[in-house]
Amino acid sequence: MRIRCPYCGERSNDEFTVLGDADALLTRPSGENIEAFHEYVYQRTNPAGLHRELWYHSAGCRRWLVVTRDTRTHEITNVAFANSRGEGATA
Amino acid sequence: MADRTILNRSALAGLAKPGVIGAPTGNPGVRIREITEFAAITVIARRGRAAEVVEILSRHAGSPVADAAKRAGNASLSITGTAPGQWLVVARGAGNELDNMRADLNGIAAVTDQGDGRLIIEVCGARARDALAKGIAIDLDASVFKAGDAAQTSAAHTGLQIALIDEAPTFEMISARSTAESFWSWLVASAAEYGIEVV
Amino acid sequence: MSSAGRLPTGGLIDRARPIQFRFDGRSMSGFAGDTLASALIGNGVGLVGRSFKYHRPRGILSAGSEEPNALAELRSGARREPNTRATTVELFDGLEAQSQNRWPSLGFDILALNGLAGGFLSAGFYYKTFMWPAAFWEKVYEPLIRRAAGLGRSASAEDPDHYDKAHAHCDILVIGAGPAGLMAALTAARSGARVILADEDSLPGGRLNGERHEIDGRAGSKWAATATAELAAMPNVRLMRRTTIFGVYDGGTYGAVERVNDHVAVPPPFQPRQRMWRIYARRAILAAGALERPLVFANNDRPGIMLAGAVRSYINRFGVTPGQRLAVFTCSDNGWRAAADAAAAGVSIEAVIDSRSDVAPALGADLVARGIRIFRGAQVIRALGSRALQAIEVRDHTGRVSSILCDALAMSGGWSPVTHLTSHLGGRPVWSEAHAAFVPGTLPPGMSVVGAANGAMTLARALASGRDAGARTASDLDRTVSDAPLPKADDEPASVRALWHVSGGRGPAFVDFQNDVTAKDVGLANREGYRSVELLKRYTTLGMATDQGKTSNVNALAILASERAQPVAAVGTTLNRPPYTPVAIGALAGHHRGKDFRATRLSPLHEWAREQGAAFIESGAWLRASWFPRPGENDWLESASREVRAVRSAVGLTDVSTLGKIDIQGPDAATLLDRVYCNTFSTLQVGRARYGVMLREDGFVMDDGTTSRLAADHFVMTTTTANAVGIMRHLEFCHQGLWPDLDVQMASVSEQWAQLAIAGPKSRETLTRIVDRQHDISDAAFPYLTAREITVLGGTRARLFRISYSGELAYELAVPAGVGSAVASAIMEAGKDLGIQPYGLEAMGIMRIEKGHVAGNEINGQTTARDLGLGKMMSRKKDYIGRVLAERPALVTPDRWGLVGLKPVDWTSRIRAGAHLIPIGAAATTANDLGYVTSVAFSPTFERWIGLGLISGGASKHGTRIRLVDLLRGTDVEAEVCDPVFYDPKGERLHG
Repeated sequence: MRIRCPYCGERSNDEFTVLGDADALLTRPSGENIEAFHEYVYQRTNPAGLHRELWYHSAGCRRWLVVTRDTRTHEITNVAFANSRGEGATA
Repeated sequence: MADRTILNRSALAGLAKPGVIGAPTGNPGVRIREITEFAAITVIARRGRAAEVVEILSRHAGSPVADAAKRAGNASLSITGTAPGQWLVVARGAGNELDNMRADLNGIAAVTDQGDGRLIIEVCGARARDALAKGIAIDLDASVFKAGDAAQTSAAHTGLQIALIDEAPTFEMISARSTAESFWSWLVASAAEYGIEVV
Repeated sequence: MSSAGRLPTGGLIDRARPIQFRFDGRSMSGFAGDTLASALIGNGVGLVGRSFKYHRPRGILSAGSEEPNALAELRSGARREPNTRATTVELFDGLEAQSQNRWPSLGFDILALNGLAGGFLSAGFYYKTFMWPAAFWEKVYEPLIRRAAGLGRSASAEDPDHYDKAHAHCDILVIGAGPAGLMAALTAARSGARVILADEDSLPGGRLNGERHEIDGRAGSKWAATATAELAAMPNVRLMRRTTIFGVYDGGTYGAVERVNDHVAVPPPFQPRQRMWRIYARRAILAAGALERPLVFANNDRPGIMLAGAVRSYINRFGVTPGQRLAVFTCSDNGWRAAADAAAAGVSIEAVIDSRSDVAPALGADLVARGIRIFRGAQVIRALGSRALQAIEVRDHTGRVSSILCDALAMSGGWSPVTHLTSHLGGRPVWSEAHAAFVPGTLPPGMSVVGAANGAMTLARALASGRDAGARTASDLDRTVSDAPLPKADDEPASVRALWHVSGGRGPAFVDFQNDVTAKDVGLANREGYRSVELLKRYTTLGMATDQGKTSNVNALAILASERAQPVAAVGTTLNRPPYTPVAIGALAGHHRGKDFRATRLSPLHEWAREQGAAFIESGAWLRASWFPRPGENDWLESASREVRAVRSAVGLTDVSTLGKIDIQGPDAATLLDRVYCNTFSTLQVGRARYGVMLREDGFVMDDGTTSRLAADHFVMTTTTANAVGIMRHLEFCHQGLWPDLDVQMASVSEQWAQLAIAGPKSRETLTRIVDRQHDISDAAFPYLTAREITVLGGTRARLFRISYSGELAYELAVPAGVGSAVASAIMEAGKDLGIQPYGLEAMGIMRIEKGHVAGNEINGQTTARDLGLGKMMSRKKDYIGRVLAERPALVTPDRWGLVGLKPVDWTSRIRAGAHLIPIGAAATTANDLGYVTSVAFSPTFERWIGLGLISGGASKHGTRIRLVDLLRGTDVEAEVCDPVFYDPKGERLHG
């Protein structure tokens, strides 16, 4: 798989580390509700289709990226920095 | 206790000995040089201050520095983008000019010493691209990777910053100190068929 | 000995360059340009191997990489290589080749009796026969089967050659250098696009080299040579001969293996044998051609029976003939040309048998004119002969059977496009009745298919499709394509009517030659219910040999379809996976084997440790000093015990450089630390250090370490060695992903600083001798947990931390990595008269157990801070990662397994890590399991074994007794549960 890092350019996926569902992971609950944190840590959807995922460019610029990938074809339609919540820069 | 001189070992001390290695071609396809005298710092802009940092770095480099994977500078000072708002500054020699830069960046960027943790190697020659392609996955073709271009990537399971200094081509490779021996082993194995001159 | 042999003239071989080689010990000669297969045919060798299961005599079936039969061992000793296809092995001087899978000799094979017991070894025989009794499997059946079904022997010594891995990038990758591929590459390259043309053969041209077609009025092989020369001269083209594109991967990534030096005995110095390529291509044009199918009739595997296209290649390219009296059996126009080519080379044609009755009259008119027997609407029902073909039985259109003497049979069952690479990303080929073959279906992104691979089965169409795809692809990439005339060639007749299975002959009719699967096996599998193609494949092992069924899959699917009375399209096909042809493990590893398997990390103190005589141990990627043997010491424990005593009584020096070190700066640095550590760091004063524990968001402990505040907005964090990379990634996630508004800057400084621990009652006295005079490190000026930037040895910058892992008065000194070894040597010199000793990982491990410090064995991802006795560090005044889920009911129950100390009741007993904690008097069962021993050490301080463990109830069990049961090593030791801090529980020594 090839991921177009907004800073480094297109690289093979072996330069990256994947973490999982970006929308889940970037929305950390506040407060002390165990149920809310349980959802945050464990509950995931597993879509067949477009999926926004967190990838870390460990061998490159060390930015966390939100990669929008079709889980059926591995086609990547967007890559953006996680610190902007995945908004902006397209792949 | 009286002052004394402390031996400073370069990352490849004892390994990168001048001489010819590999195929005896008469005209080595790859020339390798370890840069042993240098100082280096990482500069990371404080939040929202990247533009000011670019301005200060450009002033010190004497040429425009970009907030991008590019290498700017001159023979003694190079500034290479490594991530958004981040640069690695390398001063060859004693590195005294870094003190002024550090002072100028105070409060605008985080400055961290890195010179002791790095290995710097220059690779040039007609077959340099062929040798480097054996570990480096990015496109180093002359039509794509041009003088002043830089990249953070990896080679031989080791993190690597690579830049093209000139179209000779001369590549500058900056890697970690701890893996210097393994990196050297890969580089020599990869370039051996073209003939290597260590200078 | 068959009557195969070298033709007096012809071929693309260099008859001026003879080559000597040996096959099964016999000296033979061939010519430059030969393959091992063509040279064997040239030397009259027809029998080249025995089949996998039945040990039937086998000859050469094909002239390419699809070969199922002619597998040979090459070379000898450490370079011995099994399972090479003789049809792709280029001949070189001194080549030693051995036939495989025969015992005791190729001509006489005892295990050929398997052939007589063929019924016993039919489809699914493994499952049916060897089920019972179970013990027989290991002792009897498996060795028997292994002996019977061999596939050559690999070398037992280390491969002396080296292998490369390399990367290449291009606009357009053209796969295959036949007419379509050459035309595509020429068209694309002339537009200026960066082109890679890869072909598995040593000689580009594909079928042009094996056939007699003309292009622009001259031999096709000559046209191919000219096209190749033009491409080779273009700077934007990389021409890769002997290179197989074996796999297609996501994002336009292609795997290739280049056989750089397989065609010589020994690679020239410093050159690899093979090179693995990863090719990144924006577009790809697949021009992989087509593979001819065998016809399935009784004894169709006899040596001398060969694919018709292969017969043409041997005659036209290699100047050899598989026999002197050739018959042809075909269901397509293509087979007729084998007869024409053989006749032109002076080979006697005994008969042409076409299963079709409505063959175009023009086809073979010249053969008829020469009085050659022609059968239309007829079939070969059986081959006769054993180690060589002697005759065939032909059933004519009236049903009458007659015998025809012949020593070679060319068969053509039609051609199957090589669609393999189109399937690697899941694309499913589709059945084309017109081609009687599967043609490419959904393609990988960026790929187009041309020539025979796409069903363009004639030369003119192949050239046109190559040109069109080359032009279209280059234009897609914004290149300007110039109009060049299409080379002139003819559309030869190429009609086909499939003939899947000839019944009625006595003897096995092979479908998969390499795995010995017959038409009967396919039928049997279907009758037994294995009706899906996936089940058929696994039940019969069809298509699962090293040739991946290149010549067999389509025939098998069609036979299955016929058994099921369904069209082939309804039966479908299995999908091909990489690699297209076998890839050597050595090529996949490249440079990275042995000590270069992965990068080894060396500490900046490595040189010093080496000078001190350290015994090193691999610890993750690091090579670390484990202990420092001294004369007279017999084992590591003696050395490590001496090192511990030195630290406890005087002073020791060890290397802690491998700890992760992270520079954290910025106005919000303290805020970030408060959020990632369970304890508070914003309250830490400048110049002070604090032990911190990080949790994962699920509430379990992630890592621990010491973080120091060098300035209000500047911290330096240490992590454990093992988690250094992971913690940096975690911190970046917390900052970039969770709290991007924080003004924090982080940089790893693990490589920048050498870090030395100086520990023991005389550590301060030692340090005083190297710390520059203006820095006061007396207890009053530099109390426990002080962290300050200082200078040592006359101006060398350093950071000094008064922290202790050993439990003694101790310091950690960080100096720039370049001077690490020199500073360590200076400290050794300074502490010489105080009795300083270097100590290693083992001594460090012993002392941390004596002190009850947790390490990786305890921070194992299943323990909480409370489990480890660190619960009081968990702040109640702030939010931090893991705070909420650490309060889940199951993580706070009193019976959770908590950290305790363990000491054997009999002080002479040894205890072992991993032993389970079982109540005295209870059976050693899972139900009675109360925990386990995590770490043990022989304590030189207490002169007995001590351990740490996790026990249900934790500290509440102090003072009780328990059994340490290790069923694996057969030990059962009674121990007392105690406080984990064995040594100096009040911590007086580190304040000394």
